[in-house]
Amino acid sequence: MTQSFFQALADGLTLGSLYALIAVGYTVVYGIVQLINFAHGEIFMVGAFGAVATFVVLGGGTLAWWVLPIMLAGGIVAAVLVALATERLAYRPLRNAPRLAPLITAIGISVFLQEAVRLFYGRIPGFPDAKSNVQFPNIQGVTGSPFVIGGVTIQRAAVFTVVALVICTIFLYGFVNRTRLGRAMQATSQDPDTARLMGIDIDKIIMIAFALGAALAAVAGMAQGLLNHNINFRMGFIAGLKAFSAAVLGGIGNIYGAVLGGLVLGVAESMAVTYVPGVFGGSAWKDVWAFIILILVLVFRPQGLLGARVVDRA
Amino acid sequence: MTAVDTDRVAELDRREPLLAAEQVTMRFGGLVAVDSVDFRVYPGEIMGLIGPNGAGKTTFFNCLTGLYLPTSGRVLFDGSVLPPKPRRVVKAGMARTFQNIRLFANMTALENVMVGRYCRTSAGPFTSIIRGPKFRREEAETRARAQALLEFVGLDGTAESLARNLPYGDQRRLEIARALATDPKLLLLDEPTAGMNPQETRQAEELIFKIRDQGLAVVVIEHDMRFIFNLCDRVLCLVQGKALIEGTPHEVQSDPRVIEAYIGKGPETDEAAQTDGHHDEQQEA
Repeated sequence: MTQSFFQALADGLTLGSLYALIAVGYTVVYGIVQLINFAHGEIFMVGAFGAVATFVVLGGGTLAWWVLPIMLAGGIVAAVLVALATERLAYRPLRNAPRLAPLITAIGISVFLQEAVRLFYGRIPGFPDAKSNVQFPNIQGVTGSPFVIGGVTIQRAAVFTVVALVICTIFLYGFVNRTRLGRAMQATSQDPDTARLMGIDIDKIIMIAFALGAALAAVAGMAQGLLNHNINFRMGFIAGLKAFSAAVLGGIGNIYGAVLGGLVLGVAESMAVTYVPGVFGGSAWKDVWAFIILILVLVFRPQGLLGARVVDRA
Repeated sequence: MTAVDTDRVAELDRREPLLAAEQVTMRFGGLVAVDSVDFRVYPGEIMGLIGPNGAGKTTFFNCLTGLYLPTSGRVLFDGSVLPPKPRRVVKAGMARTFQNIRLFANMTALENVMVGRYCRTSAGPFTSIIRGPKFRREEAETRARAQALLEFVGLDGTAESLARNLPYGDQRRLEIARALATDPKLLLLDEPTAGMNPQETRQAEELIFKIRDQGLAVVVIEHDMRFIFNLCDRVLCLVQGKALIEGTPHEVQSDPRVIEAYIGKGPETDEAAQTDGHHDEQQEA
């Protein structure tokens, strides 16, 4: 009983870390431009494919541990560039359009990115075909035999995921609260007009928000690849929706809320899979729980766990 | 008194104006909110802008700060037309406060002032992430400067309080500190004493003198006549978008037209002026 509880907890925290890393991207962008960037799940996917591409081009076939940071850097660069391109080409021209326009655009970008990866990734010489699952390299150190602590099995990639979340959260805290650009981001999310009049370049702050979210999504993409041993062009869809739920659960616009929301959602999902009996039990229903939680949050606490009421923000 | 004031103005007139509005007109549809106003501000002087409600003071202010592009006429700051981007206006050396306080409510007092330093600092994303030496030096400077400014406006004890938890008078002073953090040459204050008690008003007055003594030019919009006549070197009175008179506080104070604009001539004119004023204000908002 306790063993299965701790197993579920460990799995849930891993999953939750993954959601949290992606959720930050939704929440940062929303906090600044009040846009739900539904293409963010695809940025996560691009991060994973970028990492594989880096492995193919620069890895030289080795699986040694030092390939990991190189792949991570490659994935981050790919995700950030794609995110900045979508901002510049698709969202910025719609900055003053009614809010439905960028929302629909986001869905369009999402489909576009999926199809672009599906159709063109494999055409680049040396790259694996992306029409079906792409194998993710089993890097030494973060894959291989799992740790077993008191009967609880913990994958090495799970450790990587949780550690990555911890490091990213510390980094994020430092960036947002202890740097000039971070303060400008906070100021912009609280009152964009005044921020602009204080000399803050809003366009730049928006780009930084997109880039920041994309970098963390790429870390998540890498983690996902290591956990599942393969990636595919559709992986961003469900992960993106769940991370969005996590961001809403934590209180959209609140960075720490996104981290907390991701962890809560991951653990809840894992617990539900372990403990819900009968027809609703088991992993077949796992995706349902996230959305049930989303609906419950929207009904009973629309501002989320850590979110301020909208009135306070205005 | 009058002789000294006139001398001072004459001396100022020989210098290059820091801010010069030339025949500025601002039209909103059929309404002429500001009508061919000329206006000069010299370094180191305090200029007052008065007028009854709806006289177009705030609209004129917004033209000066580049928030509105005047329908005709132009505004020269430091000899050149201001670029249309607020960021460049701030960088050029113009800072302002707002009629209704616009602080970053959920940031601390210190952070608010540090945000004001944004345009004078340059650490980019990369140095910020790796926390390089340039970043750390700049960050330490920003913090020290913000602390010093809080002290300057008399808010040294409240650096870590959230802006929204500060008393009203302190919020006003914090806004001034934040504006000063941009290293302005010209500070524009939109009703800095609105809602203040007499003691706070006196403090505000001292603070503005202190700012002037640092070599800044200050433009103040105010309703409080005693405050403005005590404070300013020169005063411009706007009535229904037009410059009624510009001169020393003494000249403006004793001008019958100013008194008339405020108090009215007789019952009918007074009523007419009030309705008019009301209409204008709605347009401005």
